[in-house]
Parts: sequence; structure tokens; C-alpha cells
Amino acid sequence: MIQNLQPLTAHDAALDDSLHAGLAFDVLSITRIERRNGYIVTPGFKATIRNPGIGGLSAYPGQYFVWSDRETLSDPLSEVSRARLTGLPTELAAETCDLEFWCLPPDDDDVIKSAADALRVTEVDYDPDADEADREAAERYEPLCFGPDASDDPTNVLLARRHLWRWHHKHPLGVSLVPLDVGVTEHLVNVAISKTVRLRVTNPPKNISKLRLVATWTQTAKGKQSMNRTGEFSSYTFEDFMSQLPKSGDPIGNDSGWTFDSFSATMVPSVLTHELDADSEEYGEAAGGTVTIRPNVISYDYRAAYDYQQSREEYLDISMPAAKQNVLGDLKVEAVETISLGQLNLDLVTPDWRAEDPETLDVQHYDVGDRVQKNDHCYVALVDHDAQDPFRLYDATNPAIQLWQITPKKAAISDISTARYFGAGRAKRSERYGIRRLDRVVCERSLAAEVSFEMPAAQARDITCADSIRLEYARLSGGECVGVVSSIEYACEGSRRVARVTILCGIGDGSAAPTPGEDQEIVAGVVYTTNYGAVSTPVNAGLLPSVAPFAEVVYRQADEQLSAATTAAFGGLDPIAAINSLPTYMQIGFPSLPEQDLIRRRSTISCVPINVPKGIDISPEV
Amino acid sequence: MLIGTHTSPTTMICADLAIGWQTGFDLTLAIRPIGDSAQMERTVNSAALNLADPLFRLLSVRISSGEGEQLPPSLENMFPGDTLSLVPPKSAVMSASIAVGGTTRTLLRTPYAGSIRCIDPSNNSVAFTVVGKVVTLTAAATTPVRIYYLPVLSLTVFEPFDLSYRTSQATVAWNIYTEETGGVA
Repeated sequence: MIQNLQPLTAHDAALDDSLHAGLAFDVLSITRIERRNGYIVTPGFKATIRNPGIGGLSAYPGQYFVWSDRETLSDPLSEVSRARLTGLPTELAAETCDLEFWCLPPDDDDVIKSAADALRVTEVDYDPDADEADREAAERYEPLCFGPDASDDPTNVLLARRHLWRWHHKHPLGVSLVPLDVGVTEHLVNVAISKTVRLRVTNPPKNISKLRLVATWTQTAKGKQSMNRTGEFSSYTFEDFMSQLPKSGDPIGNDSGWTFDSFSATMVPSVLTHELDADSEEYGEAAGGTVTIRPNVISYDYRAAYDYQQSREEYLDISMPAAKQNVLGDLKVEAVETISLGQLNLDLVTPDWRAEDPETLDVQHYDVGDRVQKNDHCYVALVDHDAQDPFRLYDATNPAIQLWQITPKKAAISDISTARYFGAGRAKRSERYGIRRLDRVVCERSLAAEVSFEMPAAQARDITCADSIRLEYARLSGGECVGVVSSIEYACEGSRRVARVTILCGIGDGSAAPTPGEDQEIVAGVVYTTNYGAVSTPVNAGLLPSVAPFAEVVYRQADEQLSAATTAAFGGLDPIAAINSLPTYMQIGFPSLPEQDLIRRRSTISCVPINVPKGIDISPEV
Repeated sequence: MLIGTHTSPTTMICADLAIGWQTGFDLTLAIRPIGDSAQMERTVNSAALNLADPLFRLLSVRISSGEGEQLPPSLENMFPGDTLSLVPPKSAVMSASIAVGGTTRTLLRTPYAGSIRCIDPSNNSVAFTVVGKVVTLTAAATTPVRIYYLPVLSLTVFEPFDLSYRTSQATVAWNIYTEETGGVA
């Protein structure tokens, strides 16, 4: 194979036999390198060249090169890879120098960010009973786990899916998702070079892997009751009563959580009058006469307000075994991750409004439809505009132009008075996200048999980390193993053309994928049963708007006062004093709203052993 | 010993070495494939494997003087990396063959003009024409046809030359190691 390495005029320029044949440098060795490392595979190549001097290199930084090959000079060029020359080599004075090329388009940050953002499903109407295909996208991304700045990290959309990002190594440069555990193409390799094959077992998952989701919120119920309460009674001490009416905001009881939203009363003189003897000495010269007393009818009308807060925390523990072969030392339980969900009633998907871009310090530009949060409200942009500092709804120079319109927040739950989260509705999305997230971890760890070997480069020219390899090797149980390519070096070193390959083979036990039985659910092939803890509700917040007072009594009404006055008059005492000693009063009591310390609820999800690929037999039955 | 003819007795053609009178009395050319043409391994299933690219199927040539050498050739410009063009002596011919029924053969190296001979196993000449590296028989071969030719070798000096003088005999000894330059146009 004749190797060619030539600069490109642009990263997407077509390969041209007349422009791109031959070597731009004296290339001593050139190696295509690609490795699974974290969540992003970035292919590239390295070349060792005869040092052309600083002048020979300085023309190229940031420029794209294409590496191609062909069998003979009369064949058309075939692209091996194209990539960007990154920086100048660190060693510039030696006889040779090493150049590094990475297969990234010029605006790689933006490319991968927009690809990731397309996978971010914000708060949507989530129907837990819809077909899996319809709800899958929402279950692979949980905005409660990330803040509004989530899109800064394009890898976090992969946490709940068996995928990796991989940059393309050829034209057109770009990024796409590749499966974590299976290859796009399976290559059969029966030409591994003897004495180069190595097998080691890395870090398999423990027997049971656990993941905990924590939802924390303050259950809050605050408002006024839906109905006014009214009533009327008669009293002789009406002035006294009316002068002491409670005001708005006065508490009902001590620390009961209840207050008066309003309290009003009116009084009308009664038509009934009574004449009583006034014989006591207080009446002096008038003693022996009579007094006429007349009660007033008081109508009251009040509305109670409640204010209830209760700290709540819910744990959802997902335990997931893998259907895998036994590896020494794996008889344990491992808590893989604890994920705290964000505030359930906050909008975690809408970014805060900002006047300028924090990186470039340029004025922030907003397009129609952009959503922002400001002053605890959510707004949507009505026109394209540059941010105006301070934030304003209308254009500063032309107030006829409305820049922003208020819009509802996108929060996970809108009713914060709820006493439970896990178990229904929106929470199912969180639960299934947790299952998928743990599934990814367990699946990735199950690719625990690492087989590395060398093979002739010719057969490896087009193998990438998106592919898998079936390696035929007599010393393995079954004579072969299958694994995804975790790293590959396609090397042209002098005359030697060799590929150094590492594959990751799953240690699944080959059992069939589980199917859900009775009372079991299935998500992404994971079958599980749920066990939700009982909800402790010392106060039923949902009933507070309509709960009736346990006491709403008017004591010492007109009848009782009259009877005391009559008795006093009959005994020669002052009936007025008798009435005054029995002033009318009203007692109102609502069930108090006790706030307890943190109320914690525990629920569990138990998975049937999940299906992971079986690529190698490391515990053959004897 | 050729007395009175003031030329070198060797038939090797190498203007770059400027071989002439009192030089090249008893030259030895050792020709073998370069080491890089072999990267031999075996697969895990025991099959032999040459990891070297076919582009590296190149020859190395070591030219050494022999008995009675009196003057060295022009070695001043024969440092590693310097190039020379060489046609081996007539005894150091390259050989190829055409099987029964075949008519053409593309030689791997450029033949020296007029050096090609095509003969059958009984040493009878077989008629042919030649265009560049392509040898074409006028009639399809009825027996295996052997092709002998002198290649024009483009060489690069790979090692420092050796040059020694023996004063009592007034003789010199030298050798130089070269490999085909290779590369593609």
C-alpha cells in the first residue's frame, strides 16, 4: 500500500487524486489511533516525520490533512482518515518530530453540544403508561438531575443509555452515537499474531449493584380556605364583642398554623326587649324602677388561612444484579451511585437570563422562542434581540416592542403540597431514568474481559471503536471470543504494517432476556418489581382548603345573659352588672398543623438479573 | 590479467563510482532482499505471516573489492544517503520466467538496454519484443521460458564505506553497502 499524507484546503474538501497523492513530509511512521476513554471516542493519527524545521511546520497548525492509500500508482486514492493538525510538536529541534492529528471539525464544541441538546427532553407531559417507544426519550434524560447549565457537558446525556459519542475518522467529520455493548459491524479475525494475545479481567460488576435516587422537598400548603364561614347570634354585650374582632393575619390558636384571612361582623338591634326591675343601690334615686334591655343580632363572616410546611425526603433504592458468569471476589453488593434530584417544583430546564456571554463577554443575543428565568418568573422571547441590561420586558428605546412575555415554569411537579413523589405520574420518569442509568453502569462494567492482540494491519484498516471483533483463538474456551473494540492502533511503522487491538468482551452468562411476569414492569429490557413505602401524612394537606373547624362556638349568648340578668333583678341585684359579668365570646379552633422533623419514605425497585452480552466464556463448565 | 588495456576488467557499469584502470579486478556483488522486506510472524493458528508491506520488496547490494585491487573507486560522494545508479556485472543477471502458454511478463526492475535474453530449458533462444519493463514473446510459450536481464539499480548508500590500504603490497581493499532507493514516483 502506498501511503499519502497531504494538507486539505478545508476539512470537508473532497479527496482528489491529483492534489492529495504523495507525502507532504518525510513520514517515517504513521499510526491511526482510536480509543474508548470515558464517554467520547476521538480518533486521530500520529506521524513521526523528518523534522522539516519550524518553518516547514508553522504553515500548518490548525490545518486539516488527509491520509489516504492505494495499492499502485494507477489506483484511485482511498481515504484512511482526515484530521486537524493540533499545535506544534513539543520537540522541534530533534532529527524527527511527532505530529498529532485529531479528527474533529473546526467547531467541534458546538457540533457535539447541539447533538447532545437534541437528546435533552425537558419537562414534558409524561405518560407512564404510554408505549415504551413514545416515552423512551424522556426516560433517558431527567432534567431533575441537572441544572439549567446541563448543556455545558455533552456527555451527561449518555448516562442513561448504552451509547458513546464517537467522532467520525473520515469525511464528513462529525459526531454520532455508537452502541456501548455491541458493534455496528462485526469483523472476523483469525489472523491474530501468536504470542501477542493477552486476556485479563478488569472490574466486573458486583453481584448486586445499587443506585439510590433521593427526592427532597418541603411539602408546602399555604392559602386560604375555599369558603367563608358565617353565622349569627344575639348578645347584650355586642359593643364589647365588636370592639375586639380579630384582624386579618391574627393567629387562630397558638402555633396551630392557622390564621384569619379576614373576619368581619355586623350587628342589627333585635326587636325583642325586656324590662327588668332595677332595685339595687347602684340606681340611687331611680331604684325601684325598671331598665329595658335590648340585644343585638351579630352576623359574622370569616375565612381561615393555613400555612403548613413539612420537610420530606424519599429514597428509591434500585438493586440490579447482572446475569453474568462468576468472577472471583464478586459476591458483594456495591452502591454505585446516589443521585439527588433537584427541587421538584423549580424550573431546572430554563436558564437564567444574562446580559452577556460569560465566556466571550459579548452581549447575549436571544432569538424568538428562547426561554429564560428572571425574578422568579419564566419568560419567552417575542423578538430577536440583544439582551438589554437591566432586564426589561419592553424595548428601552421603543417601548412599543415587547421583548419578553411571561410564561409558565417547567417544573417537575406544579403542586408542592404533595406528600409523595415516587410511585406515580411524573415520578415514574425519574424511576425509569434511574433504572436505565444503573443499567448503563452495570452493562459497561460487564464488559470486563479485556482481550488485546496484534494482527496484520491490512485486515484492520477500517475497524473502528464502533465495531466489534470475533476473534478466533484456540486457547479460549469455545475457540473464540466476541467483543467491542476498545482501542485500535493501525500502524505503518517502516515496513511493518501491524494493528494493535483491544476488545472488551461481555461476561454475561448467555441466559435469555427476561420477560415480565405478573406485577412486574419492563423498561429497556430490564424487568423489575416495585415496592413503595407507605406515605406518612400527619396532615392531609389536600383537605386544608375545606377542613371544618373543630370548634366554632359562641358562649354566653343573649339567652344566657338574659337569664342571669333576670335572676339578679329578681334577687335585688343589678341586672346590667350581671350581664357585664357574662360577656359574649366566641371560640374558633382548627386542627393544628403539626410540623414534624424530616419525614422519610423508603421505596425499592428490585430488578431481575439484567441481560448483558456474553462474548467470552471465562468459567467453562468442567 | 589484461596487460595493455587501460580499462577495468569488470563489466559492472557504474558511472557514479568511476571505476576504471587498476580498479575492479575481482569485484564481489552480494545481492539479497533488505531486512525490512520480512516482518515474519505466525498467526495464532500457525499460519506464516509477513507483516511487511510489498513496497519493501527491495534489494541490498554490497560491492567489495578482491585480490589485486590497486586503486579505489570514487568514494568521496558515497556517504550514507548518497545515491548511485548501477548495472551489475554480466554474471549477476536477474531472472524471471514465463510459464507454458504465457506470452508476457512485466519485469520488476528496468532492464539495461539489450541485456534481455529469453531461452527455453534447452538453452535455445526464444523470440520476443520488449517495451519498457514488459517482455512479450512472439508466440505463446510451449516450454517454460527463462528471462535473464541486467537490471538498472537505483541505489542509496546505507552504511559508511570501508577503505583500507596495504602498503607492502601496494593494494587497496574497499567495500560499500547500498540498498535500492525505493519509494514511489
